[in-house]
Amino acid sequence: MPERLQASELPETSDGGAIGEPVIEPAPTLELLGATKRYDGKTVLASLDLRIGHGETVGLIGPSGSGKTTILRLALGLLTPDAGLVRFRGAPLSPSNVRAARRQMGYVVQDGGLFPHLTAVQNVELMARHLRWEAARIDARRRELVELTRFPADALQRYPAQLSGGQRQRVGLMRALFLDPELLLLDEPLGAIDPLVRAELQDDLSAVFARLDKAVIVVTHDLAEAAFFARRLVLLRQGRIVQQGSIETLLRAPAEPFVTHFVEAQRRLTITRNGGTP
Amino acid sequence: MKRTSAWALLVIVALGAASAAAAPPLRVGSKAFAESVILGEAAGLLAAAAGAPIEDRRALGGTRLCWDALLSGALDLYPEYTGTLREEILRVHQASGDASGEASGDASADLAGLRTTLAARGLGFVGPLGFDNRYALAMREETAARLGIRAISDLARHPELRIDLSNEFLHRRDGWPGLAARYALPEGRVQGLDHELAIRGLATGALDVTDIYSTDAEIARDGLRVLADDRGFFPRYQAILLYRRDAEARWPAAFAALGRMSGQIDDATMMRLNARVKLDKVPERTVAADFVAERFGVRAARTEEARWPALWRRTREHLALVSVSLLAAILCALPLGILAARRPRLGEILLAAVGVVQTIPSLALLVFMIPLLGIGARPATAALFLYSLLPIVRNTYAGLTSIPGPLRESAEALGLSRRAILWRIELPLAFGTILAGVQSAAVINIGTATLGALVGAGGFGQPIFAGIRLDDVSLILEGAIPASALALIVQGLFDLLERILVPKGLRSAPR
Repeated sequence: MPERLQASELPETSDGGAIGEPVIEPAPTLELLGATKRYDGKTVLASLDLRIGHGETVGLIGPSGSGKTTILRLALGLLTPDAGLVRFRGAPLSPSNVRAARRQMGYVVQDGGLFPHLTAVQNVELMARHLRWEAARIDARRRELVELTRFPADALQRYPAQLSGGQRQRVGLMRALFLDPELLLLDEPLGAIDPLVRAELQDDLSAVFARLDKAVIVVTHDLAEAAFFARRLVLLRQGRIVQQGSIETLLRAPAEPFVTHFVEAQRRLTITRNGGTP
Repeated sequence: MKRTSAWALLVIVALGAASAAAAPPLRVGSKAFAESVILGEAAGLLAAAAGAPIEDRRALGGTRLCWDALLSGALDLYPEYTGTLREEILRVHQASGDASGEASGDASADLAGLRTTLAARGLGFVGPLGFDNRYALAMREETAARLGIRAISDLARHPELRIDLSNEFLHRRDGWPGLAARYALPEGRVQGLDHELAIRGLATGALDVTDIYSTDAEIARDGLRVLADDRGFFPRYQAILLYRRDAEARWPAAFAALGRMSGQIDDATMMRLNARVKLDKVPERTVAADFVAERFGVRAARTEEARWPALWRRTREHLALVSVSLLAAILCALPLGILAARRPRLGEILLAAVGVVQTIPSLALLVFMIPLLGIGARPATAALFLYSLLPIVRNTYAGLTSIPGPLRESAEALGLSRRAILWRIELPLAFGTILAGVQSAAVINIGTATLGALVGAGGFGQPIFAGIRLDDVSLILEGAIPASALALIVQGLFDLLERILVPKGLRSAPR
């Protein structure tokens, strides 16, 4: 895993703006402006601002309950903010446009979130068939994605229960990508995968992101994994952004003692996991 | 010339057939005990011999049911008793003040009054037929002799006696409530059960006192002691044939023939006819046919149905009841279940409402239906429909609400419409549970449909209730075995259906 960490040793800034991208862009893919969300009087997100530019990959990290998943659900319109605004490609999300917006987003959850009554290929093609794409177009897109995600084609006719965890995750990814979305949202995409498959899937996912050139948000509680996928990390705690920037920024210029605390805790985990190698 | 007359004849025959088909038949009913069925059959045979087409509505569930059916026009005629009419139906107390209750002096005046009261409702009666079938209390002879009980007033000294009464008697004004008040009998510890079962229980010693009809054949057979009504509580129960006057206008010849029954059946004759049915196990129709042949010289054209055609007819009747009601229930309960799952607060109300329907006793529900739907298959189908709602609504609701939240969210996040989520994701996932609900509705429905016999809907209940009435186990089995077999077959079919229809991915164990 150490060599993977090096993959993110790229130019860095500390202000959290777009990195390696044109600074001026017509509209960011996703914007949260002062987004606030409360459950039962408890504030889950507190006036949070976040912008994800076109083609940018962002890793959302933080302890559980810090609001990572809430951000994804706000982006998808599964939740509406109590205060503030969510904009997708410049337009505020509203009940009238949320369905169209969702079709330009791909959502991958832990263990794939596949529909158990549909085969892998039925899961993957569900939306395209619902939108009455032509058969040839569906075939072409499926072949493309099977190749992109390196999914074994002979497993396409299987039901989710007959697939391995890694295969299920690849099916979930194919399903999310089928309509060629502008924004890809991944919630703990490797959370249910065993370590060996996990490493392989990490590589593949990373390659997919690189080839797609879409905006990507990866939610994970694993700092190393986030850093592997994304140059820009956003560290959350109790519904607020503690710091954003590259892994190096977090290591060298922590904004708060909590950053060091979080990083240290993750390091100890990594060392334990890798049998002592830092 | 010959050709013309042949044509004319054909036209006359056709017209005759058409007019006969157009005029409604004479709907003859009876209550579900042997005496009533015999009288109904005898009336039907006489009317048929006089040219009226008969629609047989024998052995209906009870007094209230027959009365409601008569008023609503679902029945044209059934045997009734004057005491029942006055006390229970019309609720006018008999004027007779003297203790004996047999005051024959003003009996004819009473009857004239009754005739006037009924006429105002468009009803009339044939009779009195001759016999009195009053309520009475009876005990086993040896128990009564041992305790020295001769009259009802003696019962007050023996609170230890177990008194079980027929359900109808237990709640009638001219039954237990009035009797207990008049004789100051203890009101507690009194159980209600079926009349025929009560008499059997008395014979076997399971209970000590029950109500009987004074013409019950078992009095002689089982050596029962009929307790004297020493405070003159029970009014007279003269048998009559109660009918609608519009039916009389339709079939005057038939009613002229029925008039011949007046005064022709005395107490001894009725007890003998009852005994032939209940003790000798002769079918009511045969007993009635022998009686009208012997007394009126009328040969019965109608015969008892053979066993296998009867079974086939009952199977068709039963299947029609079950399938129509179940299909309607599925069509209603599915949307209700979906609605309940979508709107939790409304869902609670909906589930409670269909639950309440389930708690209404089936016979009561059937009786409620009579004024609206008459008698026959329609009220039975409506009641079965209502009973089938609960399992289907509940399972649809349960199946939909048990879909894991993340799965539902995945569907939403894809950008599927609500309708598409319902049809492509939620209903397929809930299908197994919904199917199980339909299955239990179907199986319950098959059992409950036997009660349809009480409102003249036919089906497997018919021989079951006839068997209970006549204490004939083989007759009960003739209905009970096909009903159970049908339930098993349907259960099996649903299991098969589940295997075929439930999506494969949901059947293999996950991981």
